[in-house]
Amino acid sequence: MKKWSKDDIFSVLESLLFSSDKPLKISDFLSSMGENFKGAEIRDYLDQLSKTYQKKNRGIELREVAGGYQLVTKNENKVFVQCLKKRRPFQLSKPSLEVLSIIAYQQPCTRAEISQIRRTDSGHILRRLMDRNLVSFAGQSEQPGKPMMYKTTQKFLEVYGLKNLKGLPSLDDIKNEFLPEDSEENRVQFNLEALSENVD
Amino acid sequence: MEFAIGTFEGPLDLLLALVRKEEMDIMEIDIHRITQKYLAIIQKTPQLNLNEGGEFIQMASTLIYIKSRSLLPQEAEEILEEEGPSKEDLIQALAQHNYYLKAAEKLNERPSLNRDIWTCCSSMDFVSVESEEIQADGLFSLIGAFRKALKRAYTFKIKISLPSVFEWIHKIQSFFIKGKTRSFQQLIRQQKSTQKEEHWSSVHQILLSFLSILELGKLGVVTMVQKDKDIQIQTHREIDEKIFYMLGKDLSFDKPSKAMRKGSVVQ
Repeated sequence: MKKWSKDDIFSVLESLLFSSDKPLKISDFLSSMGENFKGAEIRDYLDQLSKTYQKKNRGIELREVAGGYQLVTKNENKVFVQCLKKRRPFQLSKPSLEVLSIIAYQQPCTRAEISQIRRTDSGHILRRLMDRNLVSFAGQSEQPGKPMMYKTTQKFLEVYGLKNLKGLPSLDDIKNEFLPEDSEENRVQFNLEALSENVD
Repeated sequence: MEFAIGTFEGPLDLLLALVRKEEMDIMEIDIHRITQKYLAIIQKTPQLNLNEGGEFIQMASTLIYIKSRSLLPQEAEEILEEEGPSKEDLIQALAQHNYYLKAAEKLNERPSLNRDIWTCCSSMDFVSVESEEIQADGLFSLIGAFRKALKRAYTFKIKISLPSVFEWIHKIQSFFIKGKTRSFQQLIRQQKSTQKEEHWSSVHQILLSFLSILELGKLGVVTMVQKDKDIQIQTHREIDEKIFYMLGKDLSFDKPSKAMRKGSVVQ
């Protein structure tokens, strides 16, 4: 059996991360490096590796995204990287982003539900989002006619750098942003929070 | 600021823009003012087609309904309570639309893959290679599988910009000299020697030339006689402004500037 030094482990982890075009799960590392490691151990090494990338003189970072780990260039350097990219940068139109957000918060949801929120048909946008692999089918609804339901994909999490859907800002927080600061609803919420803290 | 329906994604979008423009609070919109503004925009839109504009008209009727209800005395309002859309429903819908727009904005502000950050394999396509079995739930999973298969298949679309027949005639007009008879082969050969730098294939050139002489034939500029495997083209008159004017009309170009618009062919 191969004897692993710490340096070996870091080196292999880095190679695996560099070679992959999608986030690597802990199980991917385990299946590549053999079963003599534990998941927690790998996670620990990855955290250490991540710390070395956080130094100011490094241009890449290790991020935890879509249930895995991925090496990406640093956001601060985007202007320079963009210069060399021939492909157009990833971009969604405002309506597409809105439909994507509705699905992200309401999933699984049907096309009719999305259209009801927007009060306009969203079929063409849905199709485009599916073509870009940001949205996929999520089974059929029990509603009459059994319409298809939609959900966001792993690719969605990956593109927006989310570990999981819980990483999205809550819709309530967004709603609160629109309330005047001393509105009754805000005050009630604040009081409730204060109360629950006292209970703890 | 002028508002045009075509620039809005549905009636709520337009309504929200109006609310912002009028600096109203969504929760306390002035239904009279907003209805008036909304209807003014709808009326300004010429030829509102029912397919695209249906939603806008539906919203207009909702607004008028809510407005008329608000004019009723309190007692009548209570009787009507359960029927039709209310101002609260509208406010609710507007607020919800607004929340999701904000959520979309927040999503867009996140550093995004292939826009702000890249992986080492960012040049790869946006296609997942996860394998997935077709489930037994029939049609939709089959559609899903078909979409995935299509994404994996390599398809190439090559777009070439070709000149229109109108432009082509412009290009080859020196070939047609009044009173002279020349062959189609000569026309092709002349192009081959002069058009080397162009990227269209010779097939396109031949096709365009052929269409051109047919057009010119129709206008009486040339007559064509087939001889063996070639066509003898006899020119009867110069190709002048008048001919171009007639050509433009014939090929349904209104103005010369429009005529210079390039046609495109997808191979």
